[in-house]
Amino acid sequence: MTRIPGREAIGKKGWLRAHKWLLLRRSSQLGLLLAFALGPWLGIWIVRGTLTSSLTLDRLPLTDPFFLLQSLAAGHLPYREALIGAGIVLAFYLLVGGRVYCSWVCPMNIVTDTAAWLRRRLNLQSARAPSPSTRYWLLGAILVASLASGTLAWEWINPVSLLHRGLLFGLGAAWAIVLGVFLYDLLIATKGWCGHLCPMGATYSLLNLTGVPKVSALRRAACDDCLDCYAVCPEPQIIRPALKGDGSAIVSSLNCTHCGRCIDVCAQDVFQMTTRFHHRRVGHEQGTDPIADRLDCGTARPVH
Amino acid sequence: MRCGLCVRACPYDTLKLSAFGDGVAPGTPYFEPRRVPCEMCPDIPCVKACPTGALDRGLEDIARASMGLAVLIDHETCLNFNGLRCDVCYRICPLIDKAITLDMQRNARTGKHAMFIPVVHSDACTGCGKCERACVLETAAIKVLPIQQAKGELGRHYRLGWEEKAKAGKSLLPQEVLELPVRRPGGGS
Repeated sequence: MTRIPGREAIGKKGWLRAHKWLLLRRSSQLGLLLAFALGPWLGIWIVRGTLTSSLTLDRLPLTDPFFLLQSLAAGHLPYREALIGAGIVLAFYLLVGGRVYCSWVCPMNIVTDTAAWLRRRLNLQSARAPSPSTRYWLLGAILVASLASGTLAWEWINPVSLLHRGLLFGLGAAWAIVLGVFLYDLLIATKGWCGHLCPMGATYSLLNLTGVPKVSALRRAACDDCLDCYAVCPEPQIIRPALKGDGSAIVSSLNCTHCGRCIDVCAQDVFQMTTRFHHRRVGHEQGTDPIADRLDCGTARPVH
Repeated sequence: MRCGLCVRACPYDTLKLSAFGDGVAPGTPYFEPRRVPCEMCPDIPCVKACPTGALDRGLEDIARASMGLAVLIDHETCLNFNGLRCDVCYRICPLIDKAITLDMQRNARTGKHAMFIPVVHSDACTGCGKCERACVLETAAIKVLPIQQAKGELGRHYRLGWEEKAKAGKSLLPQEVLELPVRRPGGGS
């Protein structure tokens, strides 16, 4: 009998508490989408534009730093609104943690979460995922391609903006790209897109350096090794140092999306949402490369 | 940034964003003149809305916009080419007598009538597409094309004699002009 991750937590904590962070995230994702869609659908204009660049209540400009980066690489310096907008977004994510975008804002997250859920239910085992550092190489390649072509190179196929823009302006054939990512995650690589390839997520990982909220395995002594957190985590490689190491209990990897799903599914209540300043007992060990380590780029510290 | 703020700013719902699979970069703003042409708002809200400069704010007079170039592409179906006085593209043009003029020519078919041929001038045409929208045919004979598709380009070494003459203020030919024999068909001279 296959273990269904979270089943034990539901029995112990009740369905609602075992889905608290998931429900909060879905409300955030759908609420943001609704804020963008009320204009084109019902004529109630709260936000104009897309996640790429938008204007809220005809006042507040917001611009995605990943797009600004592509634009700058392409040799185009945008107008002041776009720069101010990107500054506001940068400041926000530096405060709350970059990859909060991935799990609380990005519309593709619902697609890849569904693929991961179905994969667990169907018990599909194939695991041909590329290295989690592939996304950083891809990000670099995109900036070089933008520089060479003078265009926003990734925007030909970026599933995130294609889906979001498609819902607001007409999908065209973008459903094929979205379906492709879904099938890739379902059949080829577990958590393949968000956890290994997405260069937009890679950009937000780099902005994850200073975020205040952090997931911590505060009650790691209570861990009964059920592995439910590993099963649901979009970046399972990041849990081990905090859960099984003897250093800080804070999940310090830059790839943590702060989705909180590990908190939901743990029947033993091992995980909590804390701040980065919580229980900082041990810093980084001597002789390791803290940044590369936290990017999961290979020079992992020894795990005890 | 492919954000669509220009689309939202357009009061006539002229602009749309291209979708994935349309052949251009997804999210590129465009319009179909035959469906909804550009109304050439004097305050140019689409340009004002653009946060990146993809639409250039240096454009302050919409009459100087260059969104494309109208081309009277089908001479066989154009009513004016058939000797009628349709003139609709000429009359509707926001820059009438600048972007489109009527050129009177002899109607060789009847031998006694005139044809008023609509002529588009690329230096004035903004590509707003009102002519394409208004063309009375089932399918428009005049169409807005991307400028690089519509325009030819003279070799850079070409000089137009009459312009050089006007620039110099006098004829640039040597005083002693070579006398060449005039040859006519039929061998006469």
